[in-house]
Amino acid sequence: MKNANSTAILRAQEVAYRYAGNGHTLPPVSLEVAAGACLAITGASGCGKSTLARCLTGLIPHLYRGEMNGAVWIEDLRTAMTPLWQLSERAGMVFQNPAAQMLATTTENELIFGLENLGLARAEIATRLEDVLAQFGLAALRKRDPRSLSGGEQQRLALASMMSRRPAVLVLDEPFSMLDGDAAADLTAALAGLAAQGMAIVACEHRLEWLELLPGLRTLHLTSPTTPPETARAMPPPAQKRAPFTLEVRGLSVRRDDTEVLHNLDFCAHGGEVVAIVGRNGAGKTTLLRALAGLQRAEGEIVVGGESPDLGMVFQNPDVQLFNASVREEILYRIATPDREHYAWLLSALGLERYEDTPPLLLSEGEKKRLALATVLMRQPRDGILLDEPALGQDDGHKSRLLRLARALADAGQMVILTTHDLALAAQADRLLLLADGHIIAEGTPAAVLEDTDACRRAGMRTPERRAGGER
Amino acid sequence: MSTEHKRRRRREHRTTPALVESSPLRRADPRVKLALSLGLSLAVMLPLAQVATALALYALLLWWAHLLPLAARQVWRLKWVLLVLFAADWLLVSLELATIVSLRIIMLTGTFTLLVATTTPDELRLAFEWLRFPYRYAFSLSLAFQSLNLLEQEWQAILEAQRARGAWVPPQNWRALWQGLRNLTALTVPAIVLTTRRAWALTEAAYARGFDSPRRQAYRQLQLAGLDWLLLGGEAKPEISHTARGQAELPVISTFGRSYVIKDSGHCGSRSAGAHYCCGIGDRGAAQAPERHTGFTAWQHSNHVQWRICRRIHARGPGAAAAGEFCGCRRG
Repeated sequence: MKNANSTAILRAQEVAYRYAGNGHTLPPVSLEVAAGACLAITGASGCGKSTLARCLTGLIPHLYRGEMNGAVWIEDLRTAMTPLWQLSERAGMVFQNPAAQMLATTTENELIFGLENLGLARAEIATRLEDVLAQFGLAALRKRDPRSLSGGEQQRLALASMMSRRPAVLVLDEPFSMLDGDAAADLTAALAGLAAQGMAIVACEHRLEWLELLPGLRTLHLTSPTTPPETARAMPPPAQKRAPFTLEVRGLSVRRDDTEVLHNLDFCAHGGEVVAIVGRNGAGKTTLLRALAGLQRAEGEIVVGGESPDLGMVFQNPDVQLFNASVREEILYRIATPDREHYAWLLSALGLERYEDTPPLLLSEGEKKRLALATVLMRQPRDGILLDEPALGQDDGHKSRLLRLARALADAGQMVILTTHDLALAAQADRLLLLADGHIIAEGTPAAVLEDTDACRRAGMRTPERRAGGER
Repeated sequence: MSTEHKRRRRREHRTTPALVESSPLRRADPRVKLALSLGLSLAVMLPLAQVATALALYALLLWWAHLLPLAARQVWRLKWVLLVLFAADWLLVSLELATIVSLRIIMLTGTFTLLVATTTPDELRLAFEWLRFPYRYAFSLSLAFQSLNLLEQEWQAILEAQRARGAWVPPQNWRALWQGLRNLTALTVPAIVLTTRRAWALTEAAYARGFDSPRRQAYRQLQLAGLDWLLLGGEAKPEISHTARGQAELPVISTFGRSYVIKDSGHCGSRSAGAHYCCGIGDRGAAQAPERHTGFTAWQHSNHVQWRICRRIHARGPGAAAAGEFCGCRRG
């Protein structure tokens, strides 16, 4: 399709950007990507990876009002001088959250949208549609609503909707962050196939474990100008200690819309433990947490010493609860007699001291997640906390801070139960519960559970090493 | 048990009703459905005696379209509004006005259900485009329409999160009402943030696929198939009678001087006596298989076409037709 000459398809020269409102900046970056080459752009959250991705595809400066310096060329077009629709025909972009980029009510229409905009004849659209449906294994899903697809299927559709337009460059913004192991393996295979066909691929991602499987991957590391590096200091446990206790769950079943989401679960968890619930998207992890928090009507018993537990629930998306004018007000909202000591501990433990007067909406995603956690901890739930996907889309700095906090709470006798499909995080817990289709299929220490390859596979915990090992 | 029941009912609360795939209207032309809804809305202006008749005919239509239970549920959701309006009109004006106003509201609710439960926002967009709405606006409208249910879900998520951390407590009595209204910011601010964020993500996604391209050429083209003519004609002047044709008593609809026999023969794939023309359900817009427009050609060639309303094929789910399992009628 494309002749393999050495000239770069995508070229950025000292491109830098400053957002209009909040002063976030991207420091100058230069890069070149040739046909068939793969480039990974790494760096901690907030270092400007997403901003760079938008500069490379021309969304910046066309849709954003900030200040851009330097220049980007896609093939021979300079992005700032070319209308966006021409750029979009040459550079495709896959966004971080596959569910948030669906525009139509069927898979087919989702693909047709992009093809119509190319101005193709109807016959050509029909051919390309069939091709791309077959290529990405979407033919059986063609009449389905994209919102009803699984995360992995949605990501495939997002990729297909770009690839059907046959761009020369594909830019992906944290494509792996929302995916479980199986879906990540799928995506890696798809990307490898595209690179082999001569596509230039740029992926912004802080998790390299999957991208490293792409042949000839180069990496470009961005360092953040604003956020100082994470200091790994130990975290003192909170002042109050909780006496030892046990959370007992017996015969827990949850039905929703006439389907059983959780089937007759039995397990115990103890105060002072960090428990990770692991499973693929849709396995019932969140439902289990909601049941433990008393937010989900369920059959069976959930007791701590004969009464119902008092566990604070921290939701996956912090945006559903932040609304005050400053971090201080957010944490202390509707708390009649705040415990000053506990408040001070929370601020320092979660690294929010600098932001006491900052509006929550100006914080980074990781900081918002920590603030949401602080609002729950400030209420001092008696038995501990429940964290729904705390690591989703977060970098290592956030994860290590989170783990240290969980450890500090556990040291104070509290219980921390979290859901994740991040293997590295799960391995740090005291105990793992593997959940698949609403059943607990394995339980025990991380070392013991991760030995059970079959169970791990059923729980969607494929790892790049294991997969690569299997194929060699 | 009763609380369990209530909870399930609450779960069913959606801003717009779910699509009813089994409805024969599901595959009718969106323009026709739009016209039908407008026509039915106009019927609201009729005087009392005729409104009652119209309502009865209308219930028949909804029943045929598999929408009666859903429409009834939608009306039931409005029971308090209806009751209050009815009481107020009766007390302040007359029983007659109270009745007619209530009937009108019921009809409008049903009309809305009829349109929304059988038409996806994508299809509605095609209808608006055909009406020469600028593409940008038609597209935005369809996106907004799609987002209604999402909005409801997000609102529930916010409510749950804020309740869980004690940031939102519904006012318990009249005196707490003012405070409760002020505390509403705990719900409204996150709702605005989430909506804005989603809108922006969609904007980017659209532009990344050439939304602003001046070269756009529409792929789907609306085509009136048999059922659509039937509906349009039926709306113009329905005359329902019965005739013996083939082996069974079949209702006949005459419009524009032509007669159509409606036969609901259940499973499509089976061969039965009589003509074998598919009614065109599922044909319209299915450009991946233009040769399947048998229903349409049948209309062109014959004055007496036997329409077989293929219910089963839709009961098998939307994917079935796509996988090449299109109803077997045309082989007959």
